[in-house]
Amino acid sequence: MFKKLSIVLVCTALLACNKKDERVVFINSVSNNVILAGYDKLQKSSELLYGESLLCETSANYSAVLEKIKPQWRQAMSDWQHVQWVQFGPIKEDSREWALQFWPDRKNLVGRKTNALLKQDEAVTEQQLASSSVLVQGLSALEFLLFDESFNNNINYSKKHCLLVKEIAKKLQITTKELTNEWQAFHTTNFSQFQKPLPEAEVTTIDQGINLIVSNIVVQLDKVIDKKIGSPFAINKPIDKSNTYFLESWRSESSKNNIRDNIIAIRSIMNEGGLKQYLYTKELNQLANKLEEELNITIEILNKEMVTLPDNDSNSYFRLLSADKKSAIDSIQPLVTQLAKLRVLIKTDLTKALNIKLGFNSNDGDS
Amino acid sequence: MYTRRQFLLGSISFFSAAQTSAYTFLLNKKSPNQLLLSACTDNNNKHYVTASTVDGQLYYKILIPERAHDSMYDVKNHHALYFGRSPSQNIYIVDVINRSLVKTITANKYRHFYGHGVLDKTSQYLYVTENNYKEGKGCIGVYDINEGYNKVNEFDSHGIGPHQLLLLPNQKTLVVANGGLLKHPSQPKKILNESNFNSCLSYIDSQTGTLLGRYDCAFPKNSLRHMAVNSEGKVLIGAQSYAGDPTIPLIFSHQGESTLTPFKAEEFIWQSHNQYTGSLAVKENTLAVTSPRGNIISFWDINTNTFLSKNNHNDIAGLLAYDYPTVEIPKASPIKTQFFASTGQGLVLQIGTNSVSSSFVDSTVIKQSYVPDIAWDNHLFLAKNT
Repeated sequence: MFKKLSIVLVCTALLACNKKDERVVFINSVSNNVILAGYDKLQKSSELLYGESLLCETSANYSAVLEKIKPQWRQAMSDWQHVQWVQFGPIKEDSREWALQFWPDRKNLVGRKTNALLKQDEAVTEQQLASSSVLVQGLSALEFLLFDESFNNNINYSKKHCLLVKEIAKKLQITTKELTNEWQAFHTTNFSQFQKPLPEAEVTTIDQGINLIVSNIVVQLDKVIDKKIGSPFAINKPIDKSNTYFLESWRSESSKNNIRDNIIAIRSIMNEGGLKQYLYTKELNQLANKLEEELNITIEILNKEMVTLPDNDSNSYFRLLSADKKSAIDSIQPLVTQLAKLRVLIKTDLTKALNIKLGFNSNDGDS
Repeated sequence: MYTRRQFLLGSISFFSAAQTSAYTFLLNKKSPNQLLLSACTDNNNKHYVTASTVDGQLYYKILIPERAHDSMYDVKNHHALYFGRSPSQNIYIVDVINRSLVKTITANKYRHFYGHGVLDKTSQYLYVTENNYKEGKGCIGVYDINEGYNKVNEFDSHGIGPHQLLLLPNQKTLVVANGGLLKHPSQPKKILNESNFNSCLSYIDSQTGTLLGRYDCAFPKNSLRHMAVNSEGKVLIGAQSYAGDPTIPLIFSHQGESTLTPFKAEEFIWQSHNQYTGSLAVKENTLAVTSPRGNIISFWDINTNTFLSKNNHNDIAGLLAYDYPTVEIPKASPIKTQFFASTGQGLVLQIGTNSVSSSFVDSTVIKQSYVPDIAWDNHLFLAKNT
């Protein structure tokens, strides 16, 4: 009897000792399973993109080389969209966020600056690119060089054009590698030492860690709804305010894919990132299940073909808007309605349940 | 080499820390007599005005019925003044010795405050930005401190929506950032002239109200809001843009030129500010600017009007330049300039900067204090008894 009791007591004590703070488990899961895994994937696709671009040095058929690079660029862009929501840590150092992608770009700065490099007499060197504006160092500049309509009739791309793609791909590969390595260091410094924060830590409390993750999800969802959809489709605005060039990736016609990747990324925070489990531990099962359900519905809507265009390519918001603004805006309404539901669930219900401080000064500073 | 946050001394909760006495504030010779004034809101959406010591101990926290914005300190009477946030009708006056609210100034009929004011050096007059919403005009209310804060005069601000105002070092000239946005307290969030507004900087004689100069912001739909003035009288101005173009300049300077001079930076630097600047503070050649919407603090060279560097802090807003190091900094340290900054996440950061080169400033968080259930509001003010 006493033996049994003592075993139970020892086990209970051990369990207590080993019981991890659920908040820390959540933060670590997001950091490792979502962010680090996402950066790692982005690094790998960027490496492959750079690998393909090396053919610019040996092949004479530059158009064929650039055609081969396009799918690899799409993969890298997709991988970036999965981690675009992370607006803290190494992505914010050295303006890497802008180096990877400069958007919104209403003045076509990427096109203008990249074109200026193309017009140089000599091919751009690695050193030259490194000292150029960050706007020409990543996915946006590559998108311009690979997809811009001004090159469509130019079947014979120049060697200079191809070599510029190669140099930018190389820089992208370096940036994404730095990002992965530095995230590992950031994780160790900030997310593994909550009991005794390291002097160089930026995140010194568990609350701050949770707050950062959840508020970044909210900001990303706002960006999707207001900037990626609201602005080009002129949601709640007169129809003449809609503008195809406000789409995020109008050149490559991958704006819709980007949005789907963004929502899938939020779902991965629920699953691999452990948000669902964390909500369960807080007995917020209903909220967790509802959130998962609404994310799935949103992704389903994004997967559906919305309008059948003559060329049967309904995956391009650019073509939808270019063909007929009114029907494009009408066709996107189910998604807009669904995203609005999702926003309430995340921005109001989730943040309230987790006691998250959303930008106090940023949302409602000066009035 | 001093790395980022090498000097971090650990988090301090203001509210669990020992209470600082009035004696400490007024008479302690070792640490100068200084308090950080700020408004804040807690997780239950209750609003307060506070004072804390520079090393992060709460001195007082007084409940008020609305959000406040900026604050000032009347050294003669030991009064801290907290300006209700626009379209507030109130200015809250706290006796710093007794740590109690002693008076509330109420706006006149058809007037409301914009959240900012300034005291002259002799603590005779308080100048406050106000909205004459009956006529849709900006004005400056003049209050006599020695006459129980009675309103004794009112000047035209020479623009719509006057926001922050400051006195130049000559103590005679007021400089006013007229944001240009026409509003009415019945619809406080609605901008009545958003499609076409004009923002300007105006210089006004503080004794007569005479307009000494007016300089329009050359960038359309760019609302001038906050300022800092250096000891030479150079005015640094921060804007909030409604133009829809996230790459236009948001920071300007003015010192006798015929136009406002924009600071220079690559477009992505402006885009990093997300069309919004919060507070400005200047120390020697370095201007610091917070952007809570960009989650950054940026540093600028006021001699060349060029960008130096930026650092990331979530929801950073309140800001002031600080003269005295609060922690021992070794003589070999490259840290030259210090700023205090506050965030909506409950942090008060003590930031040191050093010039790495003529075109780059490195910034280091020397120390930070954290309050879990507090969001610090837009501005910080340093109350000094010296």
